[in-house]
Amino acid sequence: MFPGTGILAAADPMDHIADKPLFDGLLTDGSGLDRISSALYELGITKQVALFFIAGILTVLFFWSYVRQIRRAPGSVPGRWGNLVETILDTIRDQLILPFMGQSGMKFLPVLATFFVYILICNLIGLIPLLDYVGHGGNTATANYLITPALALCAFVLYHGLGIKEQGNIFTYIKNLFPHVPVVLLPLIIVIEIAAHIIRPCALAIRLCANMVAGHVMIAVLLSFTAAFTTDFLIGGGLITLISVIAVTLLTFLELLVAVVQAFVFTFLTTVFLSMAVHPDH
Amino acid sequence: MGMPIEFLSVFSNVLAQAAATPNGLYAAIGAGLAAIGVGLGIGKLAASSVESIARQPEAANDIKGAMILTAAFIEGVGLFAVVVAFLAKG
Repeated sequence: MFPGTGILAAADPMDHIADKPLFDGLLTDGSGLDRISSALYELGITKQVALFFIAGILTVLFFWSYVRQIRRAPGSVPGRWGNLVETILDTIRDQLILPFMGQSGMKFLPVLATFFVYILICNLIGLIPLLDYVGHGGNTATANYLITPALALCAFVLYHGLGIKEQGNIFTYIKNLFPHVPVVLLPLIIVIEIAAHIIRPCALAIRLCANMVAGHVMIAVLLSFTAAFTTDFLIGGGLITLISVIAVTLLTFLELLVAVVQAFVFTFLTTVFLSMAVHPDH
Repeated sequence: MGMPIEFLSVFSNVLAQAAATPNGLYAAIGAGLAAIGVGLGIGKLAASSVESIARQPEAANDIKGAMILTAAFIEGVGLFAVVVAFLAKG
């Protein structure tokens, strides 16, 4: 039959977002694709990791034509694609960098724009409908509970590293990590601040992963109503299918909004932590 | 097994399974309570943001942006509780 027919009638909605080998389920007869996917799986490259790499390449391509035009003729009017890139960069500059770090924070614009566009592209790839047919697993890279902590770790290293670089050496940075309070409160403040610094990247990771997982599981559950009802009641199953398809369409629009908002929230929090690391103003 | 299982013993076959492994039931109750918190928080947020848009329609765009952003934070807290429920389930 068609490759991947098991998906829409999958018994377990969590199967819809689980991670699987790259071409799993496509051709399972020991052919070339099957052996490639098991070899890649030994290396750790599953479907979601491969999509994460592809999203990286797409992020570079996103900025490519705009950067080439601006480098060739600085100050020129951007074309249609450059207009989109400039909208994103202007939003990051006006809403994130200038309120928190002022003009001296403009040197952090490239890395924050990269975080935003990378997570946005990863989230949006997860909403492409029939990419599930390439393999059995899910295609949202940021719904993987191992990939989002990797992103949060990148943000953690970024803001601490840039804070250390801005303040000279690591001892000044550690001294500035804790607010200046009377000595009697200092042990409590140290414990609270260390706990806060550890929990912040964990919260970043869990927030992104759980939002993506929850949205896709809702879509899978509503879609599975169709299969569950139509096998028993044909006429009633038709009505349920109509309701289910309308609900899934509306949910997918909501998921588009959630994809953009979660990318923005990740970048927003990274900017806030970066501003606290670079200019501690206790 | 615990009091909640005996109290709801009218639904016998669902609870036969839940009494054997109550983890799933407790996790589901926990996730439902988290949803109550998220609903209250986002409801209060929506009420005050809509009222302030009605007071000053020129600031509508700023208020809308802030509303979406803070709704994402509150929903994140609710999803932390759902993740804990998932981990407690199995």
